Amino acid sequence: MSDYRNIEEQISAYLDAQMTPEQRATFQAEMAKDAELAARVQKWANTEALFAESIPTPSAAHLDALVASQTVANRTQRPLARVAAMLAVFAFGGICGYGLSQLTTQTSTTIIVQATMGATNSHRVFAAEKRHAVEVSADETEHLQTWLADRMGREMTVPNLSAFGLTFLGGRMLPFDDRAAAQYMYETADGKRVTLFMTRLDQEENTEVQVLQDAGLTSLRWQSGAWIFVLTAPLEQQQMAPIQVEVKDTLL
Amino acid sequence: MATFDAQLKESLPHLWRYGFSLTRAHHQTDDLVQDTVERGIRKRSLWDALHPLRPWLMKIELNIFRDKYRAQSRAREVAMEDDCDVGSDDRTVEARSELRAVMKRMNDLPDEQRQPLLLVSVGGLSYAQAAEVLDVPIGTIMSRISRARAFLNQEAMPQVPGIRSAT
Repeated sequence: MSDYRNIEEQISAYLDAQMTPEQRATFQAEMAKDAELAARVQKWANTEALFAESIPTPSAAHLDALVASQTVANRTQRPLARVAAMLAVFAFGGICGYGLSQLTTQTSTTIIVQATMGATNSHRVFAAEKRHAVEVSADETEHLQTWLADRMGREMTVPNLSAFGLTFLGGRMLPFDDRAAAQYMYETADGKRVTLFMTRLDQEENTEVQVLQDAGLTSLRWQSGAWIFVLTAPLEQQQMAPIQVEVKDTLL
Repeated sequence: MATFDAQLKESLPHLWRYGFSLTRAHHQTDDLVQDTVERGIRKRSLWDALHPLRPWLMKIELNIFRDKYRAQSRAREVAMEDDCDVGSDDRTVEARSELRAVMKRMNDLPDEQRQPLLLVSVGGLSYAQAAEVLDVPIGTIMSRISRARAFLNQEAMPQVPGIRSAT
């Protein structure tokens, strides 16, 4: 890949998942240091997601019918019937990941990827903060819980993760799409930050935990009903798995 | 490399969504995808099996669109702002009007910037593949896409070589 000539080309390449792992790591380090850049990337990503959502995703049955009707019109042609048969069992791969090219498979995945990007970007921006890491600190946990419960429309009990050596630092509210999201932040004994991001989605689903690893951060993502949770930290997946279980149990 | 049929199947949702981003109308998209698949199958002997099929099909799709649909589509573009389906879901009024604004700006983009953006962001092609489809160097793809995105986000035009943008 050629060199980037300006920051806009870098943002684009980042969003389009066109960077090499090294370029990506460098760019993410820049974003972690530069909240303005991170916000700009988020804004570009949101615009893109908005546009992607304006494009419907056809059902497998619809595509099937499209190609099948063509078969009738082109009997002399090659194996359209076979294609049609394959399409009958074809389901969209709704696999999520980073990178906008993957945003385009399915509308409902758009928002999930957006949430994941929101979670990891917020982690990078706020976990780097010393004094302003949280909006409401742990000594006002009760107020934080009431406030966020009110804004989020659900119970917002702060999971107690001290058994895993994590100290609760506090939390903040974040804008996400047209609604509120919440971020809780914890710290390990050696100062590593662990964040939990949660927000509401329009479609209810219960998913298994998905693991995403990206430039030193591990994210565990799962959905319980309408709620999506993303637990992010510069830790190994094995270290985070028991934490995730505790969080899930508390916030069910 | 997967077979022609398997890749065709895998490409269909992308062809459709990319097609919709060009035509902005359901029935035209259906026709466009059908025509594309038909022509693709007819010309399959010309496909180089060492290359992925999707960019090849998208090139066909874009050509058909340019030949057959563009005149109709241009006529539609004026109407699009009013009747474009920006979701009868529970989006807020602000989100809807924001989407309208983005669509309007997308419409206002010069074709040479919109095409690479749609191929990559809707069609899911890599920069190299988009460069092949549009027959321009990859650096041109990069600069056009970033300019398109700056415009969509209402930012100043990116500065070229050497100058790190301060916006």
